Amino acid sequence: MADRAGERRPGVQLPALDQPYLDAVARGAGDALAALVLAEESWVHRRVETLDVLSEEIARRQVSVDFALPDALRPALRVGEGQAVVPVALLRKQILRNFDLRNEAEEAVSVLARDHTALLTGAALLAQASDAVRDLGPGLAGRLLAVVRSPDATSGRERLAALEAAAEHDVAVAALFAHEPTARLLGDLAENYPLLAVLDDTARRRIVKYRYDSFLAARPGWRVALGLDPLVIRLSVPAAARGARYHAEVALPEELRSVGAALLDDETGEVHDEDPDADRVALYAADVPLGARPEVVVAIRPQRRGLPSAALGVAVVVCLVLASGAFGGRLSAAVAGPPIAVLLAASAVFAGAVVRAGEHRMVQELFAGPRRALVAAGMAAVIAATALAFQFGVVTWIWRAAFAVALAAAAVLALFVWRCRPNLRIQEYPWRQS
Amino acid sequence: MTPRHPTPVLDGSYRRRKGVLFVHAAEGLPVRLSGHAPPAAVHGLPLPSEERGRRVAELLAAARAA
Repeated sequence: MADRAGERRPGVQLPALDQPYLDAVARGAGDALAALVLAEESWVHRRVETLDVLSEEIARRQVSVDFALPDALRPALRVGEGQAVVPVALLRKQILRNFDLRNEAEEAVSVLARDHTALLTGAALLAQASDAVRDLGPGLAGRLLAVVRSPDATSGRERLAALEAAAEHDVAVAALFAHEPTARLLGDLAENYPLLAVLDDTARRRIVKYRYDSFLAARPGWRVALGLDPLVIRLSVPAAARGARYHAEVALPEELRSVGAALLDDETGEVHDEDPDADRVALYAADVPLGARPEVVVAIRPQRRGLPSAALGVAVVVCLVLASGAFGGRLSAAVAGPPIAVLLAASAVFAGAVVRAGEHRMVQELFAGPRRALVAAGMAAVIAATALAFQFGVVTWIWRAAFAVALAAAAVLALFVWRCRPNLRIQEYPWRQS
Repeated sequence: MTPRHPTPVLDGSYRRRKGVLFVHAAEGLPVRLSGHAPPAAVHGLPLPSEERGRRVAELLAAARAA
């Protein structure tokens, strides 16, 4: 303990916060971490990723990691009393939103802070680099550590590129890149860092789960709004390429359903699995290559029941009433009461269908097209009723125009309902040639 | 379990459609190094030992001091 002048005073001497990690480095934690990061399929049995679309802007991701730490590596990874650090994921150097890590009992699990993570990953890199270059000096070691310690992905990539460029005229740097474990670690750790969980009882098989929020912006184009195309969501899932087996599940809001989903490689186009027909998408793949660019692609459509069918019914009724008046009825104020009452009643129904509290925001976005069509039909009805009630001069033409608008709205709604029919789902694979 | 269908070749046109959403992951992909094959698992690394650990600890300390 020291006073403000820096003079040490007698009393309780607390150990430095990073002492357990320095001790772990001295026991060989660098080698153990390198072995785990470079061969995850040998100790991570399975990853299960669940994505829950919370709104049109936020999706909640959860990844559970089922692993068994190799006995030979456990002593080196020990920190403190009976605990060990485990690299449960490789995360990009960026801020995580709403992150948490839990064990099987849903208890919070500690995660190493950035400086301690950098210390251990630096040790992993130097352990391999010192095999590649026997007389690795502090200067070159510092340049390697600068790549690992880069604060963000962009600077990490730049520092790695500078090191790669130096390999052309520096024999020692070239030897580092020729050494596969060192090169692999540099590629892994330039833009990413291992999420180091501090766990008790690593002698048995364990499951930990981490969760965070992903952001998206659902702005469907006009073809999606009219129901011509499904809404397609592409989810980057790098975790699929790490570990032996990978499961993905996508939970969709009520009133939406998947009409086709696939786990595929964005670059090669290889499809690892498909799920053609589900309210909750489930995909599985084993042994996805480490260099793959895996994605989950989901095509989403609104369900037919509910708003689309009700809206179509309202629009057809409005259409029929307007057609009767415009082409067959007598449009005079003396008999205006019943048709006005019918049209206003239809408008009340449409208002009830449009305004629904508590609807999922993604559902709102996908139902924007039929809602606008319904509003158009309702407005046409109100304008026609008003023209009749107040005896505007061209009532018949106003009714005919209103009928045309309502007919167009009904056509749009009919198209939407038809495209949402349940037996269409097996035909929709936007990532395929038809 | 849902039935599986044979998969024809991919059609990249769906990516260009308006309304296709991309959701990024927190997990990262490895940087591809020039002149290297696609990354693959590396096995057979040296086992951790106190001797190797001490050497790395000294190297870390020297790099910090430099």
